[in-house]
Amino acid sequence: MENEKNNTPLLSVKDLKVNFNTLSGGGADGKAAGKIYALNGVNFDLYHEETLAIVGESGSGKSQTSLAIMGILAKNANVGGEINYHGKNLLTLSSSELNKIRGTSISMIFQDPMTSLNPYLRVSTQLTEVLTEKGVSEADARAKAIEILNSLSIPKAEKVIDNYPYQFSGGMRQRIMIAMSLMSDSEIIIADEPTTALDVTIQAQILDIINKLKTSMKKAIIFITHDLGVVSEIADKIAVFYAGEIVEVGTRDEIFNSPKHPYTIGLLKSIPRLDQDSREKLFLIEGNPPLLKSEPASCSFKDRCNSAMAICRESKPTRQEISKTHAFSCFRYDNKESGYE
Amino acid sequence: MSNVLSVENLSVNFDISIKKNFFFSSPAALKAVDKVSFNLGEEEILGIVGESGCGKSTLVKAIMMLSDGHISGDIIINGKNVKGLKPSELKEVRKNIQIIFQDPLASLNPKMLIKDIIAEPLKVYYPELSKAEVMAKVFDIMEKVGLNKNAANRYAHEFSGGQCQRIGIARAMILNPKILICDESTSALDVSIKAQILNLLKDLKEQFKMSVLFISHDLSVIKYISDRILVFYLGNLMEIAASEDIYKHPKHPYTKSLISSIPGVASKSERIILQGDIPSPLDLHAGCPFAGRCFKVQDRCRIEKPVLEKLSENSAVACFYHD
Repeated sequence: MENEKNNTPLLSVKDLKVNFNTLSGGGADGKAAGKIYALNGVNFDLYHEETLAIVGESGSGKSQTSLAIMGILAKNANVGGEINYHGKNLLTLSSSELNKIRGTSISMIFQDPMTSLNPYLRVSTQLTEVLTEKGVSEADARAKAIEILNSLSIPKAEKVIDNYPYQFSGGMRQRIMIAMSLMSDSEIIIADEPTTALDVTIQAQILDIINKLKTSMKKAIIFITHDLGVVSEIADKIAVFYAGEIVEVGTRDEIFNSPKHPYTIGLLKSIPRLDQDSREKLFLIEGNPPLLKSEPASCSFKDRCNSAMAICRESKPTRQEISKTHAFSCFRYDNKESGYE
Repeated sequence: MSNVLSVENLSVNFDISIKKNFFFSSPAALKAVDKVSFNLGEEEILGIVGESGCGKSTLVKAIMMLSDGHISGDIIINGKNVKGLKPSELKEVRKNIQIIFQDPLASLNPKMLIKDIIAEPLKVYYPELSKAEVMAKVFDIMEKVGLNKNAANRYAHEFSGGQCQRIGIARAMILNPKILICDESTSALDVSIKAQILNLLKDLKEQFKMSVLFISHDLSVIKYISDRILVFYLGNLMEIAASEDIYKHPKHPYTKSLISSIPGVASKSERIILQGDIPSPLDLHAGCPFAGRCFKVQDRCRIEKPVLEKLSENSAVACFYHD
């Protein structure tokens, strides 16, 4: 990171909070109306030509973060905090102002390529839409779409571009979704579990493509996934989500080789590894994630943590930075005599 | 080691003839499983791995005699060929072979109490048991799979995915089956929950001394839980080997590329990225089903189909040019 450009974040998320008004199920008794606190103060920066992986289990707030950036949260959501992009806070923009950014500067690739493509429209229509909306001619947009499909190794692109989504396989559909995000030269691409629905040999192809987006097309990528194996392939920086918060953030090496937060450590240990002796038992994180019916006043992980202390139940751990890139929120590190490493 | 399950030359075909008019139709068949043979030993965990559409679930349905397809070949469970059995005889066999499905919530009846869901197999197979005996067994199995007693009077929607999967496991285990089939039973679960369920299945296998057929597309899960692994591709058995061997020394080019595509395993220079998609089972050519994507393909592979070649007591591979 030598030059000026790389030292200022492209996208900066500060104290992002999202909660949802619910009709039932959010109250303290689990039945009455109340709120669900999906995101409770999320902070991260995304730099140029960087892949930030957001990792976490279902319900940890990964997708809500990306929806908040795109301004497409559900109607019952209340949002707080800041999402700064080129000097503007995206959360304060009107939807017409947002529309100048969405799809043009920040694009999104969704998880399920079948349900996120319109089954009634030809692929060509869906690909060119983002450009023709902005006044580019039909022919130019089409030429660009074919060029992008070719670059993503879709065979016979100029012919298949007029097919309907059902005529493609899962891996091809995901390439079309990627092509769609590339149509308008976006700076940032948010990929929400883009390989989860794919088979492992196809997943390898798609990960290869996404890596090239960064290296040869100079994109910044936010890659959301629950699969730590995929993360190890693709990420420069990793943010570990738990119960709507980032419990640890660091470079790929820092997270995989010297994780600090007990949740990160447990998560890494609970994945079956190929080089593991299968007589060994898998490490367990007991219990389930909390339901987030109130804003957490103490550590959200305390009930599942092997090394929880009294203070973990009383107050919320603050973010501690141990290097320029590595930070986590846990009290254990305060007490070095406990032998916590 | 004697075998609790033997599958011999099993093929499952689906009739996909298109009726053109009242008199004519163009006959066609989809070969979902093609001449597959394997054994499941006592107290063995046999993993079946393959990508979507390779016939894993069709195979399971055929073994359970739940398939709509045309089945040829033999399925021998505890020394009894289940093909052609009368429904009453089949019921006797099924007592010993139970299944856990992929989607934990969808496989539980939303209108039934948990205790009734778990007790149902007992009511079907052992109607002579008294209510108190049934409940004693239900609570016993609930404890063994790690469910709290007060879960008994609640409904499935009140539980998380991991808990629902425990309920599914309890329902399968209450009959004390000799064979347990797990069809992608951990695929819908989060990492930390997946580890809980995998450990539980291993414990139960020891405790109940049963055999397990574990189907998954997740290679690291399969490796962790299985003693032996079968690799499937388009309805064909490509390779069988002990779990350690298959990862350290894969013989078949498909197995090799499958293992090298696991994220985090191969370094970028040695990764084999397969070209193209899995072909549709509708337009299979003569020759090896993997020929179209194989990096070692020769002319012979496109003409002739390799048969499963036995390499040792426990391993076999179907490839002319295997390592």
